[in-house]
Amino acid sequence: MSGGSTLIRIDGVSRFFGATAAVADVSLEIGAGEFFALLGPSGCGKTTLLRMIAGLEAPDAGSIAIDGAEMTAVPPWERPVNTVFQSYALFPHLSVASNIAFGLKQEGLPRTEIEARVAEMLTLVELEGLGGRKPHQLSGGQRQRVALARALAKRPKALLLDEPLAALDRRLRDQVRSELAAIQRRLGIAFIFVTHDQEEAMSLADRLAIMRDGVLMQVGTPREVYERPSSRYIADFLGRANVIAGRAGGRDGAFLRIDTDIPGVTLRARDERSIGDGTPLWLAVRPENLSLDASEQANRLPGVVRESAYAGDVSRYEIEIGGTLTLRAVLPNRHGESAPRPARGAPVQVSWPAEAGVVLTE
Amino acid sequence: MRRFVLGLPLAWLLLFLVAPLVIVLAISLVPAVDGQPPFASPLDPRNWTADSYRVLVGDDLYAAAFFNAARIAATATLICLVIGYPMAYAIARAGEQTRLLLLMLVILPFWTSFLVRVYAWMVLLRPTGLINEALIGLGLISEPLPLIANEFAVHLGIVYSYLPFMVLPLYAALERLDSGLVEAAYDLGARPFRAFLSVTLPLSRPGIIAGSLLVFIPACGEFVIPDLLGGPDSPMIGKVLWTEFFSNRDWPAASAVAIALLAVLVAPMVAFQTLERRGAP
Repeated sequence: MSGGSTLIRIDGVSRFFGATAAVADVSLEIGAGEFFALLGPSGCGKTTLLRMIAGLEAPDAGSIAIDGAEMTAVPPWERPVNTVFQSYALFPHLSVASNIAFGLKQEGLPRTEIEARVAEMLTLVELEGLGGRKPHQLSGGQRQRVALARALAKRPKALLLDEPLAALDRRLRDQVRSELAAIQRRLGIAFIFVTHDQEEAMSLADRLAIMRDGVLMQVGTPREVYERPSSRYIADFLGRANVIAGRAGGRDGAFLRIDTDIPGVTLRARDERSIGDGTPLWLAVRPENLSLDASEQANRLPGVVRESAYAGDVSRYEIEIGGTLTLRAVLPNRHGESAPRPARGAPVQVSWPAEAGVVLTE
Repeated sequence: MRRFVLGLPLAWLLLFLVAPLVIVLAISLVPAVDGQPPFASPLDPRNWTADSYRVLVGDDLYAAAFFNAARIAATATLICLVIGYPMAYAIARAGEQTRLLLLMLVILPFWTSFLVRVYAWMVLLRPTGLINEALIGLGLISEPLPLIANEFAVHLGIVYSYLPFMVLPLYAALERLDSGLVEAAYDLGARPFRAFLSVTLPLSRPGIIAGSLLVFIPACGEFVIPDLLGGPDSPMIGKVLWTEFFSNRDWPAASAVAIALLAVLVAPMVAFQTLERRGAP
């Protein structure tokens, strides 16, 4: 954990809707001050998990503790966390200032204190002078800031954000993303956000948890889950790795030999685990780790270029190997590069170092 | 085509709203006479007089009847609101199937005649009616309870008859309300009752106002319910109007009462419009 002490401890939490488990036996620890992402496709249970942290949904099994205090029986209005809802859920009959003051009034703070805190929040989200407006008089981006200010006004120990950028258009999203990161660094409290956008999760979060069908698949820093995926699902979900099926075929020192279905092709990957010969497994290799020449010794496959697309900063290729396997390769484009690139239909040698492949057993 | 589309409702309003109103206003401005029709011709300017209105202002009976009607209608509206709000809330929060069933039950009384339903209450409430007979039969009381021919019965009749007009607009307002807003209030530290007071209640205000007007306005002019269930002690203006027309055959006086009633009832409508404009989100 990168954020120091544990703030939120989720222990064996499950939540059923009818017979289906929206969240199935999830255990997770989130540190104080950590920017944490819950990532997964829609319906994977990430929002349900967030709502259980907020107290808006009760777990059917397991427990949730915040800052050492057991929260299972604590109603949402007594939890030291606040939420930025996906639709923002701003009170339409209240002004921006009254929306932000709403939570502070529930605490019974004196009026001068509330006014000072509202002004401070308006400054934080750069909405000075708009306190008198009603939510319907604001743009989408401004509403999002009000929702953020309203949730932060109570100085929660953790801020929960449900798809905070989903309702914004693309340009605004990039801007809000960097503002969120800046505010989180400045306040130093934990931000836990739910997203289906892996790029968003990777670029914002200190650590992320990937969920699928209610199950927690992997937790780690963006680099860990990208470079060391624990399953074919993660390898494919994050950045669409090439996944090649094979069987364990003995060792070359630190390297594992992998026999593939392609006649005469044996691959090598660095893996320290002892895996019995003949065990079915998969090798995941990121497209950016492939070379389209024979420069690497460990893994070398002859193939034919089926597709090539120039995308400015990179070029993307699809290489067919032996009629059954297609590998994706991404090569950076540098200006003034002299070596000609293979054209569609050209024979190539695809190669990658043993360190670039990840051996997956599930 | 456009002229026709706009013209049709306009012609309708002129024919069935403005024209009768002008006739009633004209009749209220001439003296009553013996004959057919029982009033002097309003086409002759020499007949014009404000005598009917002078009587209206001069005789305490009218002011008292106006006041009674407004008081009883206001009380009944409040009772409808107190009973109707939880009903509407429960219907709006019920599951799809239950909700349709509950809405049907709210609308069901409209399938029988209003008059028949008020008569049914007479049968229930009178001294030899079902309720009194049953209570005497059970030995709980020895004398029949005074359930009819009083203000209690009038209130009961109005609340019973107009409750659906309160429930339906309240339901519409509460059903539209985003439940995420209540969750947001909880999340920000509001207990359920505080969340209700500061989010649900203000956001259902259009429903409260619409429902209250739909009950208050017709209840104010109500004639059948005070006539069948009420007593002589506190006449409502609707009954006075009826008496002027049919018992006293004083059409100008009755018309003056009608015009005054209309003026009094337009006031809450204007108040509603103002409130709505100010509260528009």
